[in-house]
Amino acid sequence: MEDEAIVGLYMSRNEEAIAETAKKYGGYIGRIAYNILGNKPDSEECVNDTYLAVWNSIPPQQPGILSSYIAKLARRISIDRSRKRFAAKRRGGEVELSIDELEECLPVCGNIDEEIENERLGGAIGKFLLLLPEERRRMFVLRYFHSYPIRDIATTFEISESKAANILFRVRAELRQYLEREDLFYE
Amino acid sequence: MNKNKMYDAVGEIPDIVVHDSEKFHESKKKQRRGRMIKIGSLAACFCIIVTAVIGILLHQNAGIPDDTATDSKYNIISTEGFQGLFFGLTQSATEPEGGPAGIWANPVRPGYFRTSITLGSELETSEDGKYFALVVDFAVSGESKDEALNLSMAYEFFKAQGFEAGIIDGKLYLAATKAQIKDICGKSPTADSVGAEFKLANPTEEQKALESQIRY
Repeated sequence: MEDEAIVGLYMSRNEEAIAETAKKYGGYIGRIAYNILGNKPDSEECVNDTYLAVWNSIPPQQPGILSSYIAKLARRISIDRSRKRFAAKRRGGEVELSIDELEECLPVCGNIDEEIENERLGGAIGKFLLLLPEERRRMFVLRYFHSYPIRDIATTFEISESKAANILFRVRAELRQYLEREDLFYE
Repeated sequence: MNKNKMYDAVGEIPDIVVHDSEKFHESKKKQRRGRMIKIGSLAACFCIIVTAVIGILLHQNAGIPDDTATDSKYNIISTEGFQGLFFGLTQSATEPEGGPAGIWANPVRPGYFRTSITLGSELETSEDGKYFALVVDFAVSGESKDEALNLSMAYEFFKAQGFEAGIIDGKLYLAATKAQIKDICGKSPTADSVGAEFKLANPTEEQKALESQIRY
């Protein structure tokens, strides 16, 4: 079923919408959740929570790209669950690695303004990504949005793991320079 | 907690960027899957072909007519062929012109004899154009010049292939069209010769002794 038709089902509060979403995007949501949580039972719960979140948010939301909208919800729900579950200890695994890597993008001695909303920082990162060559942009998104392991990214781009890691390292360095220029941080 | 904020902020990047990356990732995954399926299919086809070829060879070996096998003079014992021919013959101790006694052959590798059947340029054709008279000769130097022997061997061969054949007045007549001859020999009847190679599959002690007399 086309995305427009699925959104139409949500808009008319037809429960068939959830079944169609599961059919088309169940695997995608599950993959994102698993990449972040690293275990199946938690991932499955996050998948179900995502269906509920989509059901509760459309309407009033009317997403332009349904897959990305669902992916963002799944990611957020999975991160929340991960933080709750691993509040007392270090999470470990891929997501922790990618969070650590992203820390390198922060300006030296810089603190992010607590008032700055996620959207603003996300908007700046989005603008930066749109300036990047296609391949590097895709790599960054697969690593830091979808939380794919470096190994999977290297396979996708048919390059070695070390080359993939090297490219991501350079992109992070460029992102840091970009964020410094954007004046989002204070000393 | 800045690092967590960075990670959260990445979740706010434009939908189009997320969509593009996932689409690319999926397409690459499908490509890889397709490649694996292709390789798997090729491997499966290869296995089927190998199995089929082995089956055919075994079947043909098993299907050698007993009457020819019991023929004391031309014991057909192998169907391994050359140019797609399945051709089986055995010993023919001959004495080539001017040469010493023994088996003279043109071996390709140990245990194999090689010779050629010459299809004469003057083919006699029956009135309806279906029947060809073949002048058969093992023309390779040093090989048998025994015309009657060669005719008999060719007769055996074509009979074994399921053709209607007969020897009349010292000539082999074959009920075959040009296309059939081309199929079986790999060359059209106007071609000079057809090579054939045959092996002693289960040679007797006597045959082994003869084989050892082969002069190259």
